[in-house]
Amino acid sequence: MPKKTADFKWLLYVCAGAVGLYLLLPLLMIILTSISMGTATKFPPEGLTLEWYGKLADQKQFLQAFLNSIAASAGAVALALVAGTLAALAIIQYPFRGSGVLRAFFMSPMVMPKITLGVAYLILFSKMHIAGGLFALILGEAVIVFPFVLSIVGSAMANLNAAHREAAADLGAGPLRIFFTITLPQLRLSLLLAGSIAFVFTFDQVETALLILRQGSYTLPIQLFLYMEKWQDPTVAVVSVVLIAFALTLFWAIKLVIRSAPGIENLLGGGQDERRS
Amino acid sequence: MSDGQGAIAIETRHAVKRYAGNTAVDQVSLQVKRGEFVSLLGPSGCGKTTLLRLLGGLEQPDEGTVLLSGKDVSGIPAYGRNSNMIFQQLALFPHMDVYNNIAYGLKVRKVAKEEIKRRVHEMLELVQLGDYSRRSVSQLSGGQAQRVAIARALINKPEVLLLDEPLSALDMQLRLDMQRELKRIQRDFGGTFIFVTHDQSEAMNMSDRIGVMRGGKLLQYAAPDEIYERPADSFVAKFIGDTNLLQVKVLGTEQDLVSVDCFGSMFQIRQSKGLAPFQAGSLRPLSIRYEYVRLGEAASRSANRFEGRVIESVYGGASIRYTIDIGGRFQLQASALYQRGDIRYNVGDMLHIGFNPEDGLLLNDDSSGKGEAAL
Repeated sequence: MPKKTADFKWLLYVCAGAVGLYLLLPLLMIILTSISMGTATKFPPEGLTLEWYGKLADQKQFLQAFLNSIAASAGAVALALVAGTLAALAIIQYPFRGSGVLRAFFMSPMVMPKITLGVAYLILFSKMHIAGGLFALILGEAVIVFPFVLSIVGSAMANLNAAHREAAADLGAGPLRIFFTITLPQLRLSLLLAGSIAFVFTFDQVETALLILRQGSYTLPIQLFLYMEKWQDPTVAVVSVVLIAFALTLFWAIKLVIRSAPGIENLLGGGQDERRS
Repeated sequence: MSDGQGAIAIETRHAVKRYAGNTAVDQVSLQVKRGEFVSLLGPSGCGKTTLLRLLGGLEQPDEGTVLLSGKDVSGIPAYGRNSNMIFQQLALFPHMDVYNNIAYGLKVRKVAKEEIKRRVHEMLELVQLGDYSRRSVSQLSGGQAQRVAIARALINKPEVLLLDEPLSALDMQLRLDMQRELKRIQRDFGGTFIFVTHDQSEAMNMSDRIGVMRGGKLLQYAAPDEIYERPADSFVAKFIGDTNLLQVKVLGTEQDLVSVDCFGSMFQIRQSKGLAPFQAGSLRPLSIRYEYVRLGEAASRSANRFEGRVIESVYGGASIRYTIDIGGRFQLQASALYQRGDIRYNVGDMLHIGFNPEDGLLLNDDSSGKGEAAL
């Protein structure tokens, strides 16, 4: 048997290589474009240069937009993490009549067309006189990423061993203390995971941001979009490459956090730990 | 009584707990003296764990009361009671090391750091895990995890320690070691232990008193020897130790000897003290312990004698268990002590069988059929 599988291993490599290439090709093109000469985005490039990277420093609107994006995403994620964890707590640990319906309702922003939500927010936030600012965006985005938190943290919470909470209660801990010393620490990894996914998701959200935001509080995707409408130079590609670098850094940072916290991986896997304890 | 120094550590009075129409605990009244080691024994689903959870405050009774040191604690949740529990799955906190697991109960009570440190190390000494304080919980073996769970539960100096089948996941040898260990800890610690188990030998090994439960009811609550020698009914007789249960018809009572008819044979049974006289003509289960059935030579001195044919012989080292067919009418199990050189019967051998009037026990119930079905 092992011999037979070895014979066809090359096929696996070819397929995997093809898929990898398909996934990476657009990124490679962006990187190439970002270092191409000339004022128009052209492929293949006429020559290679780093001058567009230098010029990016002058484009202050991109830095501002980047900071706006970070602030909006961070705010939305923080809001969604708190609300999502509390919602999961209610639905999973204190099930009540209609908790299933509530869960489905909380998950619904996932399937709702974002542009519809955007229009709805525009109307609502205009009435509240907060439309146009980042605060409005944070409120809107939090609702959109809320389902990620609810589903990831919720399923992790459902896998927690209820006996741990009982043991803590038996040792004298009240419900609040149990939440902070038993439940929450065991959800660390899921919170990190849900937070990262939600952050990445909100970071390049266009639809709602496009409708809600006004000049001055544009986020990076909007700024890029607007820039591309006017200019064809490789600046957009340069910004994209910087974003890719940013995403990779974030990814490695998270990996590092996970690795530096021993046992945290077990918590997500859970199975083995639960049997033992 | 309310000063916590009374003789009764924990008590339930007519406690009832129902789940979705099922009565898990049915009118149970149980008193446990301070310093006693009590086992709650019964098949799975008999309500013993629910009763333990009622005692610990993890469940609240629908009716009746729970008293801890004479104080009514019904309605007070687990975190308000000075009793601690060791869970079946131990439930050690996986995100904490051994030290923090054990220290948890003290931290909750906001004990000073130095004091926590001292007491955790005291506890680690008690359970003989001196060097393990910084170990992660996932690195512990079954027996070590067991000890950590015990230390964690005892650190609050509970008035009562509740143990929910904590040994059931261990292999046989470790289990026997932990049984001894638990007894030692109880001696050193001097607390009241209530131990839930479905293993009758575990209960016999460790307990001062055993409560046998079935279908939510506490059938009998007595010292191990009393339960073994004078079981309250056929279920208890069958559950604690091995016994033959035969359906017999009472013929009459003469002085303290009861004559019964058992599938056509006449037997004399000594009337047990304290039981109401048996009505002639009534049907009763007769219990004869395996080891009380005499074989061969020994049977000739017995008051009740008959003959039988060996149809099965199981070698068990120190003893041999025979299944004997009595003239095709009924079968008996007999367990005979065996040492090298003793007579050993083979399948097909005819032999004399007997038992003494005081070794048979007429039980005061007619639920033997139900009892066997439940096993």
